[in-house]
Amino acid sequence: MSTQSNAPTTEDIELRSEIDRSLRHPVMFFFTSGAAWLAVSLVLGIIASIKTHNPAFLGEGSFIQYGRAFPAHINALVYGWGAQAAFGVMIWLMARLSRQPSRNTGTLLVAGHAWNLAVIIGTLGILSGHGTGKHWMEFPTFVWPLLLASYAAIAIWVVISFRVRRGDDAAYISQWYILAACIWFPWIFLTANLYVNVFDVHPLMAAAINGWYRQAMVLLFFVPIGIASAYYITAKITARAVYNYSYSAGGFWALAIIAPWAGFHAVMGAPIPMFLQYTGAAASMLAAVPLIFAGVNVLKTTAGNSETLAHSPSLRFTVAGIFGMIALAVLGVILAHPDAIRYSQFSLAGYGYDILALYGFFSMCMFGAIYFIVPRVTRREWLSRRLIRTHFWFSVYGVLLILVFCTLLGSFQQGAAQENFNQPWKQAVNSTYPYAVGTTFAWVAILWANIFFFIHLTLMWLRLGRRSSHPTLLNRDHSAFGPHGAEGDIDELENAKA
Amino acid sequence: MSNQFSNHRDTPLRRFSAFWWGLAYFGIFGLVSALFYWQSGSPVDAVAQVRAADRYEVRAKVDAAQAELLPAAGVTDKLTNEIKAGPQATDQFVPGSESHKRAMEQLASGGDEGANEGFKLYTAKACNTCHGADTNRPISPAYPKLGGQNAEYLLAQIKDIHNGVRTNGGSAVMKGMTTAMNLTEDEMKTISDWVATADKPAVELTEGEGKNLYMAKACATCHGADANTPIMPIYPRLAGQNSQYLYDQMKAIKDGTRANGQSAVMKGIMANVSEDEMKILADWIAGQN
Amino acid sequence: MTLKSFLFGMFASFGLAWLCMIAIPTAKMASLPPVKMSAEEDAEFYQRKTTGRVLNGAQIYAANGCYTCHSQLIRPTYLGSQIFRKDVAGVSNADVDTRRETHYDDYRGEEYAQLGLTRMGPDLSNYGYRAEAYAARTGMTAEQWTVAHLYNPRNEELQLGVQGEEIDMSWSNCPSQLQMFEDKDLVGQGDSLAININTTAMTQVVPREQARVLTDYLLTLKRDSALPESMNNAPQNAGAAATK
Repeated sequence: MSTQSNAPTTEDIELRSEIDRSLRHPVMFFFTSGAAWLAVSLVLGIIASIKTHNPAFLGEGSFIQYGRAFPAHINALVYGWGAQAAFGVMIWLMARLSRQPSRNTGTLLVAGHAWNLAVIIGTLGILSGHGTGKHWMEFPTFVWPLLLASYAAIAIWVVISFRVRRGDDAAYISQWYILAACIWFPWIFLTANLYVNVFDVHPLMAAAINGWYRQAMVLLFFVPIGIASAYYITAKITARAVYNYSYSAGGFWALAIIAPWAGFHAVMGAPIPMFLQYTGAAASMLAAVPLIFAGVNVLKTTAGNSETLAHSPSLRFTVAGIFGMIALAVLGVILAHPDAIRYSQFSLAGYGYDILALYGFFSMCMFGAIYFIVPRVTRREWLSRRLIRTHFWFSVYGVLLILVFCTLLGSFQQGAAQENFNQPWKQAVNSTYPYAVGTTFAWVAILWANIFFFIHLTLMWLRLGRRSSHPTLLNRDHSAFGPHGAEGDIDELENAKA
Repeated sequence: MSNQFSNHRDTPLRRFSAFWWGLAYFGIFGLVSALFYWQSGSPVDAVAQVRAADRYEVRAKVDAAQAELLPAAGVTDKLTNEIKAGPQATDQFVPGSESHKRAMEQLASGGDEGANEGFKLYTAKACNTCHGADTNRPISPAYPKLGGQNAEYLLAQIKDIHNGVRTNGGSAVMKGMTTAMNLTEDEMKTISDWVATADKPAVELTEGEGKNLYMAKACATCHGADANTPIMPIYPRLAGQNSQYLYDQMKAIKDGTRANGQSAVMKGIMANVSEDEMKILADWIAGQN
Repeated sequence: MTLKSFLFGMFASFGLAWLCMIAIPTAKMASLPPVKMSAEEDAEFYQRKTTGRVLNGAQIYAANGCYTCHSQLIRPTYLGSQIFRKDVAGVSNADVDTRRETHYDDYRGEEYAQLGLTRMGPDLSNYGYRAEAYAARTGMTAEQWTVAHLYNPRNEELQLGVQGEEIDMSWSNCPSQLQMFEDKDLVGQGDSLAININTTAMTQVVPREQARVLTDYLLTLKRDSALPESMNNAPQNAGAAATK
């Protein structure tokens, strides 16, 4: 049950700022290094996307051929950006919700550097021709233990800081989601890596478990963290309680029960037991239920607050992310159905689904969280609303373009052409061409959006943000709006109070 | 820093059991995966296993059949041992053997001028390429060993082959060689004299059907009871000669293909000898039974 | 909920799925019996060629991301119609029709079944036959054709049509695997797998070990042995269907 204290006590305010101060370095490290990996991933993604319709782009060097650039792009996106954004949000959110300042920032920073080292080695390994050929696990085989060890160093401190707040009778729903994600990740990661990379299992089962791993990473790591962030941001910014606690608890347990069964539909049609294929498909379709529960809950929390939505960057990004989640749910239902799999299994639809999950939903929620957390942690405000607006709108354009071109139209067109077995293969490739170009445009839009984000974030990291006690909002006249009090230099105001 | 919200000293790490439980919970599905995997066993390549079982079956069958067909247990071992023992026992031209050492000493020291000269010619005129460096290891079983043969007989054969009087078997090949090498009569004599001093092919002639035939067909009257002491120097020694060569000569002499030298004399005798008998004789003289 | 009930619920919900979907199926798939080619007692066992060199080729296939564009899966007809596409599921001509779906033993011996992510390029399950067919038409060996394709997939001179005409291959998006080739001095006749023999400069472009090993792997991709368990759903009259 989330209770909002209407008048925060001085002690509580001091505690909150102490938490923010203690976490400044690890959180900023994770966000900035994550953003750097996002940049790398976007560049590789554009190169890969251009190679799908123009293979001679930038020459025929082996480092950037599609078969290496594309796995490097996805792995950098997942482990470089996605995981680190998740870590940053995880540690801050758990600390804040449990009111536990962090004393282990040294460990967190070391673990973060180790994680980055592993991702660098892994990405360079893929680009230099030592990839393993297992999707989302293409880092050379020796990398995963290092990733797991650094993760352990981070997640254990998150779990340890879990507390139910004094005066509350239960933990916040975001805390449960974060705790769950912390526990699910090693379970998924260990299972997949042991079965696929260590044990000697039937080659088809290895491929099937790889498919399960990808879906489990989305549904049991990125989704819970995104939802946790969304619940927190919307409740905080609209200053309301979450719409319905039963929905949130029900949504959580629905996710926990359904999602681990999903993912095997990636190898539908392969000679593995029918039970696996169809259960995986059914669970992937049913996974829409918890997503829609959470989505409805969040959106209802913000209902009627269109002004806040217009003004707050965090809320805007988060709500856009939630719409992305609902689109993901619907898309999951479509793409998991055997009749659609016929066309979409070997088309760009799988990639489109991954990008919608990783960027259209997860990254948008993370951007919302980052726009919220960074000012509190650095005590500076974002410099330019225009940069934030550009970031937002071009991201939305990019996501919409990917949804339309890559996932929906392109994939089914490609699938239909492939199914048309009397026509030569050239037909299938040529019919995909316009959609491949559209996907490239989408990535260009996303890169454009994030260039401004990088610039902005770097300036904030260097503590060159606005020294203001008022947050940067997206519309000009806000002074009469909101509970921020008088506007002025944040440090001066504090010194005046003291 | 403790405050009204929580006691910061109270962490699960301080409660150690909670820490270990937590760590176990962290990796429990990894541990259970390992347990499950080792319990169920890794997939040994089942096809390879089945094929291996097949092969063992086949091998057992072959072993049984061999045991049935071969006359005595360990006969292959006996043969192997004989082959291994062979060279040492007969002291043929095997690297490290006595005759090899002698030949090398001869080469090195210069030795008997005449003998050395003959050996040098033998090698220079490429006789060794067909008859072996030590004159007793021809490259084909159809070519004759020459070691220790009567010098007169050797000279007569070289001349007859060179002049086209003897044309059977590989004679044409040899004629080509002697022509190409421009063998003069003096050289022929030197070579023949030297070859006559080389070691005879070592052989043990046993009793048996071969010997009986040898005696019965009156071979001994010209070639000697031990097949190695012909009554005239123009007749060849036979003992230890290649069985195939012997057989070919007997046939050629019988049907007239070879008619040089004293062949006419032998032709009369060969009229009584059938081809099967020739085979038995050839094998016995070669020491192969 | 309390922390204890939360942890228990997590363990139970994940554990049941893990057990039913991962642990037990993997254990069962580990002990599949070998497949016989027919129902007779002394029938041959189905065994794909997987020697060390071929497995190294599979590694290079994985490391260079061939699986991102090529699949190796012939799905049943209720899930896809690639079995009817020419030369993809087996050999089909006037005399014989060996097309069939993929069987679980088709990947035995490999470490990981490269089912593939997308089909931007054609399915490779029976690439061996296609390479041989192209080679027959162009007068090269299958190895030479494959190596030439790796060097430049958009090389029009390689692709001969039915009447020997050149086919436009400019639509192919397959990357040129130039890192698998090297320049070498031309000595004597030149390597049998050489790509560009330049007699003025006396150099030739020769495939490296990587290309040769990958070619070996690709040429063993022939998954159409007549296994009784894999149904051949091709229409009875193969010739008529192909010309429709």
